[in-house]
Amino acid sequence: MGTGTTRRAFLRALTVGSAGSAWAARLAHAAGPNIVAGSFAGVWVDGLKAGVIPCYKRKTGGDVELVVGTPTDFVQKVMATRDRPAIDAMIGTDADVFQNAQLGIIEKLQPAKLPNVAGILPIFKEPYEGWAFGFDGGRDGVTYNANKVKNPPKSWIEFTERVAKGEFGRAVLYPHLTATDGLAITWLINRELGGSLADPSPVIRRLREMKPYITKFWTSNAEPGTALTSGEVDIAAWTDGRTFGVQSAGNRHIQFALPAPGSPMLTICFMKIKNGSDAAWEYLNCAADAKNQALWNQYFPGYYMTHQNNDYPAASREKQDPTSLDRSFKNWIQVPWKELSRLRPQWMEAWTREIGA
Amino acid sequence: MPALLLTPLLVFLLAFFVLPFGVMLYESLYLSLVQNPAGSAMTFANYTKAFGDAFYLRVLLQTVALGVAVTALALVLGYPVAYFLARTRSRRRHVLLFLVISPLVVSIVIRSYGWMVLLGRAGTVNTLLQALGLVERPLPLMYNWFGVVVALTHVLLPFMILTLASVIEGIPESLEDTAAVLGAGWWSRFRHVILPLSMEGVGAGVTLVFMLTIGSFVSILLLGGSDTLVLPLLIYQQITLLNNNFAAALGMLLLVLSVVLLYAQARIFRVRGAA
Repeated sequence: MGTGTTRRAFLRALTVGSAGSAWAARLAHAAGPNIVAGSFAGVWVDGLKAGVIPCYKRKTGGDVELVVGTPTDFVQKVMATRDRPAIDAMIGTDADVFQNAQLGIIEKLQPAKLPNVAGILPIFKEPYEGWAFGFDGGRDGVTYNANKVKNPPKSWIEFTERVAKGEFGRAVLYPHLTATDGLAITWLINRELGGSLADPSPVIRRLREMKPYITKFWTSNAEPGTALTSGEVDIAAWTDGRTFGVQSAGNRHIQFALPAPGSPMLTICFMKIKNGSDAAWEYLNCAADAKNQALWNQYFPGYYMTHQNNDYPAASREKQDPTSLDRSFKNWIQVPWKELSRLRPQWMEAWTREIGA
Repeated sequence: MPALLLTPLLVFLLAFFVLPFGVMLYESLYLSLVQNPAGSAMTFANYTKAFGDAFYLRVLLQTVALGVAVTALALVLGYPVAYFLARTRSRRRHVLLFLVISPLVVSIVIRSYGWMVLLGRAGTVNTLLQALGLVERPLPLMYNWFGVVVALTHVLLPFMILTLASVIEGIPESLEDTAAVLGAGWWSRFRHVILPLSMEGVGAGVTLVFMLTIGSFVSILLLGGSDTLVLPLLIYQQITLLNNNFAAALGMLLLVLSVVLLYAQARIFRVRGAA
């Protein structure tokens, strides 16, 4: 008898509990819209979870499901589901912005829904012609093993000349053109060598001279760190933020130098996917907030942020380029991303034929 | 009735091979939106480019050459092991069998990084060679064809060995004994008895390893260099550039290569069987 009562009570409790859970779930769902957003992996996710995502939750009551991958992955997913896209908001490089606009998969920014974007510095809005706004960026330069390279190159041209002469041996990494860093650096060197957007032949010629000494054209941003710390290479065209990460892991001999005339400006941008949830505007607005950017920046010391009121965390401040701190960005070179992303297939074709994989 | 047993597999293949294959074929007949934002009419332009351009044909040749090199190496290294596995009565046979399949137990990325540790400029092999005074400078063992062939042979060897061993096991040992009684030496027994009777296994192993090699991607991406351009890498590059349609045409090229090889294998062994 006692057992029967217990069993009935248990079943009743279970039923009530299940109904309650379902009701709570419906309430939670009704409380706010959930969106899907594309993000890079690892610390990028931690950075978004520190400020941007909690902000979205506070503002809407909904949640953000992060899809981890590369901008190409996000675009492929969206292209396959254009009418009801699998992703509502994505990040991507400057080159991705114009490519996505050309493919018709992103919406123009709506200022009324993005009040925080008003505080973004003009150089991180104007180049994108209303399709996106910049969030963060880092310098491309030369990372080297200070035990082996005593006199790092002072300019990009000097870097290419010394590599081509074999001065560093076959121990050099250079980014592949499929990596946006590769496109930006190659464009800058081409410009310095007298080439133009329509004519990449000067840089292709120089890269052919450098090729016997280039261990590999890296495609993943993680590759140079492994190659430098393992002793596989002594010098690499790479980014400052990643170098700081390697240094903070105890590799003090890995140093960064910014060659003249400076770093190509390479910014990670936020975009709203066409036909995606309208709630994604709030997510973008949270990403344009100075405080949320500072919270993200604590995970990426040294990377510049784009809001004019951004106050960098102390650990980041000491690693910042001085011209990012004074907002003059004199060490940065604007890349003509709109034209370059349009011409990228031609550049890639020339690269593949002349340089290889 | 037994044909019904094939239904699940046929449904699976229809959903996950035939339909995607159809989509890929369809996609390959249009230009990508990146190439032509306004959209294109049906065209063979992607195929004209893939088949009519010396550069892409060179990449195709490099892909085939890599397949031949890895397959030949796997056959030469794998045959003796397969023979030993098939004939040994040792209790430790299962240990050897485990060692043979061990490359497949480890994730491809971890395995490739393992090869980097061994073959790198400051890796184990170069450090050892330099310590023994055999070389003055580190040898270029990685980021070139050598590293790719070594890594692919390592991972694909089990496919060759297991395929060959199962066929050799089916050859009665009495045939070898009879040949020996009739005065045939080891080499003569191998050449006139074992090798001809195991040719079906050789054919299957060669086909399997060759096709897996020409479709390999991760090992070549991680251990290859700027000269190791093969079709899978070229397809990846095109997808990165959102040129999916040309990538689809290159994918068809890879598929055609595999089908031609399968057909050749089937034909060779049908002729042999008939003879």
